[in-house]
Amino acid sequence: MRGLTARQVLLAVGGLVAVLVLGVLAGRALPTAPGANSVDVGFSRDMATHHGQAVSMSYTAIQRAPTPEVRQLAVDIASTQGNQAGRMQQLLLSWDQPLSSAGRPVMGWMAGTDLHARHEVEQAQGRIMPGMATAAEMARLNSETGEAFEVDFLQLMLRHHRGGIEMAQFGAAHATTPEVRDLARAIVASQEAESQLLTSYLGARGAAPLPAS
Amino acid sequence: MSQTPSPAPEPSKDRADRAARVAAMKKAEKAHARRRRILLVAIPTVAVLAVVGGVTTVFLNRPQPPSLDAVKVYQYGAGEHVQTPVQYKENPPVGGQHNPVWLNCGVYDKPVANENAVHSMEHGAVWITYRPDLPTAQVDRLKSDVSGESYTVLSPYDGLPAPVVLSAWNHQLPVQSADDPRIEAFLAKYVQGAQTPEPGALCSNGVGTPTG
Repeated sequence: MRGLTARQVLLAVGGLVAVLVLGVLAGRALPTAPGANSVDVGFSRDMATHHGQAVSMSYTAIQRAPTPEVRQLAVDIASTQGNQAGRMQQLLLSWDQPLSSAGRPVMGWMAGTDLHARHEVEQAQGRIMPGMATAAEMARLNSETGEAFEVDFLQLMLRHHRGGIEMAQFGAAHATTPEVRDLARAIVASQEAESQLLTSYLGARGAAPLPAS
Repeated sequence: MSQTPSPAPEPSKDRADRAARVAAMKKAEKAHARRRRILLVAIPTVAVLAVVGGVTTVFLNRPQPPSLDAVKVYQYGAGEHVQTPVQYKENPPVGGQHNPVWLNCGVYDKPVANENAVHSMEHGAVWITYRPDLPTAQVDRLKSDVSGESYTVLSPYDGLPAPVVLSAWNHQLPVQSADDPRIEAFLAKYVQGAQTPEPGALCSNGVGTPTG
């Protein structure tokens, strides 16, 4: 084989570098959607469902809680989480991912963590996600009135927030898109603040938080 | 001018042999070169064909999601609230007039009111109905399908055209068994899917107390 001239070598190397640079630029310019098994997709889908129950409980409290302070807190939770759930669902739609969890294990995006291990035990007992109320607990809440309702609402919501905060902390640490990370951080911040309020409202009614689930 | 004719060069036996050997060697070399050329083309061609063939086979044999081609589509407009009972054309209904109060999503052991369930589908729920005589194991299978899906209703239904019927707003699919793989595909596509007239509206805080 004929030896290559320095000029040819230079041309070949130059061409290779140009192709690499173009490839990297193209890769950055093209939007990349997180996949079906990503933390971003799993978090968005499950947290939207998790939020859905808090919104539901809060609307019940808006209609039924006897004291204005609890009704006001419920408006805060329903409006905040309703908006956050809508944003997560819009992200899923933009990534061409279903809002349904059909075919994908609920909470599978946290597999391998302590919370997920506890979740699997509780899931068998009817708690579909950390902190969520079971169907029986929801039925009980919906049958109560007066202070009994209010205390049950505060207790269930506090436990709901604790589970939600743990999920959101994982999402904030492991999601790859800035939209999900920022949303997860915002969820942690607002639910930690609300948890203090829920705890103080419970104390004022002579009630204690539910044991950690 | 006379010249002594030089003796005509008489090819000696040795020279003839050498010529033949050279010719044979040249021929062998040519054949070798030809083989080389053929291999140079053939090996990459075979390699490329093998890769293309392999990729195509994997691509063609990839798991296909079950087809939802059998889903029937209807054209009801949303938002028609009535306080009276409604005679629905479809069994079970897929849309149309409905009660202002929606049915709470969840699992029911007894039949639910059409007028409330239709409103839930308007909010994005998938309503799975089954014949009351469906074997318990089949019902349990359906229960596990809707577990963790907050926008689903599961209820027995008298007089169904198939053992199990899946309905979403303006969409319906009858199936013969709870093991039909299209159930999962139907849920994935239609739970709060693109057909939902009022996405984000609740499937709780309405009427009904689901057992699960």
